[in-house]
Amino acid sequence: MTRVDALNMPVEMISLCDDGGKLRPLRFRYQDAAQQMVVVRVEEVVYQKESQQAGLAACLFVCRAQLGERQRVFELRYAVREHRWTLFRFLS
Amino acid sequence: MAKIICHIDVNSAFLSWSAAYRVHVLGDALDLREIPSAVCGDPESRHGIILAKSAPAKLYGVKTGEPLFQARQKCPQLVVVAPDYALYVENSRRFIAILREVAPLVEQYSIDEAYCDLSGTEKLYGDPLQTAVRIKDRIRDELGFTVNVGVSCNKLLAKMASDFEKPDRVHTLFPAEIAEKLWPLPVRELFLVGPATERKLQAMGITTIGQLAQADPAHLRARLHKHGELIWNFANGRADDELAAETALNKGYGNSVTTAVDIVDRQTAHKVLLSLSETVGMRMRRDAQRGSCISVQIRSNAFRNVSRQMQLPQPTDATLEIYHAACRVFDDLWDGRTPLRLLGVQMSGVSREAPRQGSLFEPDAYERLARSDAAIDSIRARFGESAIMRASFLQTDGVGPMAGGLSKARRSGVTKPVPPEEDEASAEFWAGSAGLLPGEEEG
Repeated sequence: MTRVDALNMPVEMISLCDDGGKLRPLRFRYQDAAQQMVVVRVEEVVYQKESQQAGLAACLFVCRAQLGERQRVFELRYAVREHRWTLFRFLS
Repeated sequence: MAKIICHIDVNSAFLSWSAAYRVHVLGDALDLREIPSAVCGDPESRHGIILAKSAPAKLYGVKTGEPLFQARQKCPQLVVVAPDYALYVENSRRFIAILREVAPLVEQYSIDEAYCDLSGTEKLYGDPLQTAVRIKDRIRDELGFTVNVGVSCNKLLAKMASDFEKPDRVHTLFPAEIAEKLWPLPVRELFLVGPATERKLQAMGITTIGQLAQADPAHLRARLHKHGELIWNFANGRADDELAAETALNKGYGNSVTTAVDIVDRQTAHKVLLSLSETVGMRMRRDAQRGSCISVQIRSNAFRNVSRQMQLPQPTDATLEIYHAACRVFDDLWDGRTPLRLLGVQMSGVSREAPRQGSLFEPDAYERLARSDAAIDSIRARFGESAIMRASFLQTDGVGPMAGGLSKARRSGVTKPVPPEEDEASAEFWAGSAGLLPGEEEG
């Protein structure tokens, strides 16, 4: 299987930190290829994990949401120190 | 209780860390560790130095420390990346943090090496060899880069063991294995044997560590003195060392700089010495140490090195006192003609408790210097190092006002472990929108 560069696209995110310290992505937006603003509401966080790869703390969220006509599954990443969210890759 | 010491060494640290960042954080398909690649000090410049190389690059003969153009001659397809010291410091901190979670005693040896004392952990973790394998795997799985681990009963043998086959391996080197694993190696591989010692040993007919181990200690002591006895003991696996839990204070503070253009006049040289004195002085004051001996080093454009020392009448940490002493030593040392490429200022005889006697001549001079240095230090701490500089540097487009050493981004924690910074709470978090992104509607 040939590896492909990940999308790793920076997005603007509204997220919720609950009183237990758990982080949850709620809604995000980005500019698509046609220069249109796309807003995505996260329907479900299927899987999440904390990572320390390359010494940089990050939270991974595999999420399901409606994008256009399709239901899609994708991975969001939050770089803790930089406070930046990225749409890392699509999984379906 | 049997002593078990591990030495953990990150494989091609800078390269691995840059590679791990690209693969695991940026999501690149290409892993630098799988192709001929290198981290290079200044990739744009012909003179940039190779700081780290990948295993495939090593096969082409690329050597750490050689200039980029030379490496490119050996390997034209070499992929070169710039260093990211903030990244390396973070990786180093995480790596040491994992070790501290597992081992009762950890001594950080450099940015990418550490010793762990696992003595007495058998009841807790089981077989120490398995523990070492688990440590190695945990670093690989959690942090994304590989290390080598050497396991033995003292630091020396552990360090030698970690240098055996790489990457991602655990090696043992206990006394019973020395004859088989250590003695066949060339004597240059032994810890603390450098080019000079290697030459002397070759003159004595000693080329392998085994030959050194079996040589007559009296003979070695006669030719190489205390060093000879030390390396003879090392070759036999005897080393009496304890892990140092606390990092020791510096025994000296030095900075040097290689200039872009040869130095040919005394005035420019003095400017460089001033900027070096700034850096050295700042570092000493930060550690609350004062030095009493100054040494100036010069290197000609023909790469000949000369240095000279002078004892100071009073221990000092004041930039201008260091500067004036450095100029005196330099004027004595330089012939005024040979073009110079490198200047260095080093303070030794350093201590925290060094008392200063009051002087009958100019009694406030040091007090005034100390106050102005303290003010400059605090301005630099708050507003950055470029916020204030001595007027002499206004028109110099050669050397900057604080020469030598690494830039601030690199300086923290690179050579010594530094405690993590405190984060400031940001009041701005609570200001701003209540939840909707601007331009959005409810729904």
